[in-house]
Amino acid sequence: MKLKLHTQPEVPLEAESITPDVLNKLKPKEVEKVKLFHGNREVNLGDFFNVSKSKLDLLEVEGDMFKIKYIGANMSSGEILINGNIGPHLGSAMTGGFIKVNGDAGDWIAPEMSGGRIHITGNGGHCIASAYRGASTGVSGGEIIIEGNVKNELGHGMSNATIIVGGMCGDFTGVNLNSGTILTFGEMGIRTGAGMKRGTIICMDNLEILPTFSYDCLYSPIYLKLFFRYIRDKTKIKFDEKFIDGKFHRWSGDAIEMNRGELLVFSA
Amino acid sequence: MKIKNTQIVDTYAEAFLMWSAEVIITAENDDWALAAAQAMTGFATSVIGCKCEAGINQKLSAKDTPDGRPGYSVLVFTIDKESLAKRLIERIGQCVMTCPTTACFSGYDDAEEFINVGGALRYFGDGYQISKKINNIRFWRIPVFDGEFIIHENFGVKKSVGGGNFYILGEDSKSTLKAVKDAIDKMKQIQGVILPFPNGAVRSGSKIGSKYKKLIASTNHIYCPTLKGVIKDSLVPENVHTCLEVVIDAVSEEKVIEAMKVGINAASQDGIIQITAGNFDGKLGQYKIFLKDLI
Repeated sequence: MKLKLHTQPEVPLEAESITPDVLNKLKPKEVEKVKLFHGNREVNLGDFFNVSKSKLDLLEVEGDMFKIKYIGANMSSGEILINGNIGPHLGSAMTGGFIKVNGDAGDWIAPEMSGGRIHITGNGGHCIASAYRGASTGVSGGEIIIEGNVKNELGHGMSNATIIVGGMCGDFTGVNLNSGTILTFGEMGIRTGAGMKRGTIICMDNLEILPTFSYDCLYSPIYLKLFFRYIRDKTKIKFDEKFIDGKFHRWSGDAIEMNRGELLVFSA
Repeated sequence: MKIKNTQIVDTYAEAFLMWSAEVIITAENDDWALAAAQAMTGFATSVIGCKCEAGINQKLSAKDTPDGRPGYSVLVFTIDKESLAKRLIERIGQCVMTCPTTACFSGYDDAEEFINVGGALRYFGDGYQISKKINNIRFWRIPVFDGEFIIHENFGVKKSVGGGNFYILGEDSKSTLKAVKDAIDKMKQIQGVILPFPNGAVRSGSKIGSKYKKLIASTNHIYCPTLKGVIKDSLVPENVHTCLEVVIDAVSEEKVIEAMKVGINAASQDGIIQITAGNFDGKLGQYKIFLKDLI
């Protein structure tokens, strides 16, 4: 199925019906009548998108969709290919499947995700894979790859998931991290890993270490050799081969919590 | 039937179902990887006394291993899947995790069944172990003196075939040793095959049972040259004075057949009077590999 945006919404369009789970069972005419919310008004999908049958066994969505929210929400299987920029809450609460975005993504990508993969070739906004305000756990599984930069609070309260960022991160990356892995190739903002309990934050560039972290050692984790090879095979992120066999400083923290998390910082 | 001047007896080798796992061992350099692989495959010649059969399958270059370091592929065989898990936990825990710089990975890419190995060894980390997923596959990072030992949580296992064999009957010890060495050198080049005995050869070939009730196996006396004049059912020809056996375990029946074919052809040379195979009238295993089909 292929959806092409023909009318730019004036206010955010909530499009949680745009998932393979809902649309793949329908014919194009039926897809046009699927309900979305334009602000607080119920509208038909066809009011904003042209619908056509695609030969590919995936859901293609095309257009500049920075005002369109919740695409891929609750998705459990299948594949969405988004050509263009996408708005907030992409892949909200998804449990499986794969979303590829050839463009930039907005804020609050993948809240409450528990499985599946999201791959963004451009930049991401604030609070990607973050817990909602007041929640102790946000994302609880899956994998998110952002080839560009991201803003603040990446992976706030995350558990078990994996995030790879090709560029820079804003402040509070991995704040209150429960478990899982965040790897960034660019510079990270302040207070990285504040309040983290377990989990791993890997940084290849400058990183300001909080005083509640304690230094362990300089070593070459075999795990990172596997991880870098995986990134090289799965993404177009260009990185220096020296990282693969490089040495990393290991810091443990955060001492104000369980002190079982780790920061792995590349040693130049 | 003959290959060159060697008589090939019209009989069959009796092989049986086993379970196997491929273990990839990597290390900082070839020396350490080989040390771990040799330790892991030590005392693993026969399930009769060693609880498993194991051997080095092949040397791996850095580009062929998961972590880009040199390594070895090791195959481990047992009679059932449950005991395979126990043997891997023991042998990886004692022989690979202990060896400096090593890492350990499941080798079979196409396995449909898995056993928990790293998930059991992780407890050695005493609570400091770390779980990581890459491409939805779980690894365990266990803190050790030189950093971390990393291992797959689950190892793929497959139904395989053990006990493929043939006997080389030579006119003297020198020519028989040469023939067995030539056969083994060729057979070792086949991937997915191990020859678990010392240098691939067995001089104490066994039969099922014994006159002593407690023993499940004993010397296959009919191929012992020293008994030729004592027993009535000896199968050692008059001009044969040394017999050696080659035992083959492999990931499939096809691989056993391929290895036997290569080995028998290489062993058929001057000084080798006869090549035959061990079977126990179908009492031991499900696979019958006829020598006439191999020449």
